[in-house]
Amino acid sequence: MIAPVAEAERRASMPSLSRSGALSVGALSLTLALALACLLTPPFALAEELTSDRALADIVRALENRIRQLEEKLERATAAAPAPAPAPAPAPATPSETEDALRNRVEELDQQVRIVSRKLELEQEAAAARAKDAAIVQANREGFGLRSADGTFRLRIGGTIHADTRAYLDNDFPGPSPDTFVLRRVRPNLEGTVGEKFGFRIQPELGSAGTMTLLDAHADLNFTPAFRVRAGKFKAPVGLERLQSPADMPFVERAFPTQLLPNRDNGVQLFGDVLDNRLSYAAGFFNGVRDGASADSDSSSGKDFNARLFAHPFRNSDDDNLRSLGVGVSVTSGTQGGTVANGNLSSYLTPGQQTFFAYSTGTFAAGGRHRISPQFYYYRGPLGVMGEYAVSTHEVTRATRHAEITHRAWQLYATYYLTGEDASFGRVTPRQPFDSQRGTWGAFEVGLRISQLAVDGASFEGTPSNRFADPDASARKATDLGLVLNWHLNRNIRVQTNFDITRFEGGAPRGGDLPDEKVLFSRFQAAF
Amino acid sequence: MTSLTRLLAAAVFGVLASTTVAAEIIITNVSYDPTRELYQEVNAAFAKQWEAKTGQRVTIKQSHGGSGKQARSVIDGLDADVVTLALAYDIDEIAARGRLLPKEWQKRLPNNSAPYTSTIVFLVRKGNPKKIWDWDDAARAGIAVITPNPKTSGGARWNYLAAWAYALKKFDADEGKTKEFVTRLFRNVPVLDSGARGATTTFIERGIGDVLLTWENEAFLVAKELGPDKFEIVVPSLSILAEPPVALVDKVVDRRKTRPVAQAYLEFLYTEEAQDLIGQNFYRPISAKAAAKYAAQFPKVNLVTVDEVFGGWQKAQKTHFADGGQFDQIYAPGSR
Repeated sequence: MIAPVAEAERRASMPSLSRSGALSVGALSLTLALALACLLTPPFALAEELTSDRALADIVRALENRIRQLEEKLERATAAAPAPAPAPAPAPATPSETEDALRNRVEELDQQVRIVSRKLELEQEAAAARAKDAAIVQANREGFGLRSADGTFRLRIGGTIHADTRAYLDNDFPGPSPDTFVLRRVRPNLEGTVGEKFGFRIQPELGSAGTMTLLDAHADLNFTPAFRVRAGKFKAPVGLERLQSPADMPFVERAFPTQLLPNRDNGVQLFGDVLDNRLSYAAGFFNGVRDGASADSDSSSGKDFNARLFAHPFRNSDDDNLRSLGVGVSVTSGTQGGTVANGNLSSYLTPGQQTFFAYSTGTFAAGGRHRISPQFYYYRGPLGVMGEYAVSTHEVTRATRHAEITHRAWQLYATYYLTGEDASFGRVTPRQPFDSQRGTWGAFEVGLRISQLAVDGASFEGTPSNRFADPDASARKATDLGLVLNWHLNRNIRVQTNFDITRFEGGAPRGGDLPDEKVLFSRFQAAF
Repeated sequence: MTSLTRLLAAAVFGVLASTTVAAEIIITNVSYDPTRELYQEVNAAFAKQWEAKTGQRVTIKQSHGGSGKQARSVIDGLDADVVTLALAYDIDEIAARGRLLPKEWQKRLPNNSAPYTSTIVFLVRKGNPKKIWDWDDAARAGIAVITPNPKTSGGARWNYLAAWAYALKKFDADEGKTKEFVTRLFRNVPVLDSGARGATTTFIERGIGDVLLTWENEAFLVAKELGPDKFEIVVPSLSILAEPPVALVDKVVDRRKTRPVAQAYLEFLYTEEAQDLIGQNFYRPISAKAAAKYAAQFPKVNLVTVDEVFGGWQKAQKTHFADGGQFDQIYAPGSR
């Protein structure tokens, strides 16, 4: 089979043409009008100047005046020609010299007009070709960016700012944190593609700690949607809530399971979507980080294997009730070590970011570390539900005691859009963005969450000199109940009010419980 | 063998079979401007022959434009299995800058990889009202000359070099007078198209100019399509032997796994069947048989070559068409 050049194209490129030889005055009116443009402006300069309709209109008006003058001149010349002699026989009328000169001039101008028109045509073709190849600058609700005409080279500049307040109510917590304003996240984000196969992301953190840290820096090689490779520092493919962008989380702080699972880590992973996008997989090797932590460097030669499977079994179904159900499981496994000085173990925090469990000094990781986390979410109309369970097992040593301890955590939350938007794991766009002049208010979302972290009781066994944690200072269990009201002014701006109350078992002297933590958050979020 | 193993083996066999017995293959020929009609016919003949020989259907996509512009597109990523351009320098550029084929590409096919030749002639309006018989007439004041831009068009570079070669001979190799002559010629050029077909459109469809400097095949095609009552071909006293080359783009064919069909496609151009089509489309065949068959349709022209007069394409390109070269000096803005 041949891909033929269209006959029309071929004909168009080889048109029949009869070049105007002798041109009548009447038929030349339009041509003359254009031709006289050349009298007003040098033709080569004219082509460059004829770049706007306005310029053309001005020239046409001028030409109309000139053509009238020229026609009048031609009429006068014709009228002034001598009348044919009556006898003996009328001689054929010949054009006067003036008329010949005028016709020659008309032909010359005709050529000039054609040249100008052709130059304009070529310029328009060139402009169209340039526009076709030109990079496109974008500024919209997705952020700011550039992309090549074919879309394979893209650069997106985005960012997230979380300006929070934390107010602790009846705060009897030991070593209470002050009520505070805090820049919880200040994260400019640069991501893009370099050709069809390569992608990248660079995201520093400028908030919270007051110093700049590199959160994400990874390069992607996208062979196919089903087979992609990512290398660098990025979120380990483990925790469901961790994998959700903080700009999309319904609650101000993440729940307890996320504290048992790795955050960002250096490594390399394969990932992709298969089975008509019903199954996502990710698996890779990472340096290995302690619970809930990120790291830029590695203190142990042991490496973690992380893997996650997440399925949307009914994604392609016609049943709206099940289409947005996602279920999955993730695991990590590795051998990690620590030292007396650097235990390579984590403390656990309340929603108010206060420590309720910490290992005793001198306790360190010494052996296998394994985690598993079943997880699901479900979205149906304005309702969103997420559940996550996490088990983290470590081999730990302190002084003469070595043991394997297992911590467990879970969370379950439900959210609901009072204004009817469809809930989603990703960003939600209000049906009617906030506009005081139009009287539209954006979207309102409410949510309820319960979450719990239970520390392995073996952590507190042993003597004061070899037990892993002090039962008088660290709680055995924390249970949090959270309520949230989110006001989505538009896709980029959100205001959150979140109340969390956390109850503890243990953690106080003489077998007592830590006092409840009651914390009221508010957050102003700008994300683009 | 367990059932699972058998199933796996069947799946692997199925995948391999589906990739090796492809029903149809597509290749792209990136060519210069006026070869549309030629390759339309060549492609049909080759596809028929290839299917008869291999059972495989082949589609040849055509891409046409100014030769230099086409070469840049290939360097920039246009997937060309083969290139059939107006001059060797443009393919040299693909080899040197794009590194898509070896530098010795021209030695891989007969006749320096040029399966046909052509030359540059004049096309004038019926009756030759401006009495344009040779290059001197084209350079006369008051004559409007149509030629594409040598910066983007291979045909235009042949036009320019033919004029230069004529003037060099006329002025006994006096470079200064030659340059002045070519400058006068290009002062007569009111508009520069990017390719030869565009220039033809300017002359024929838009009715601009007194003489079109063009490929011999293009001039014949116009005369054939539009009739001898509208245009006449004028053969100048001296012109240049144009040898449009063809080449396989190795990196593309290896990536797309199209090397066998692309190689066969280029080799087909040297067959008597293709040479006959070449003659029919007013290109000068290189096979003795087809050349003899079509000899009568081509005028006798005193031809020079780029190698003889300009020392080869690399030198000609550097001297005349590189940025700041002779053409830029001749055709600087405001010089017209």
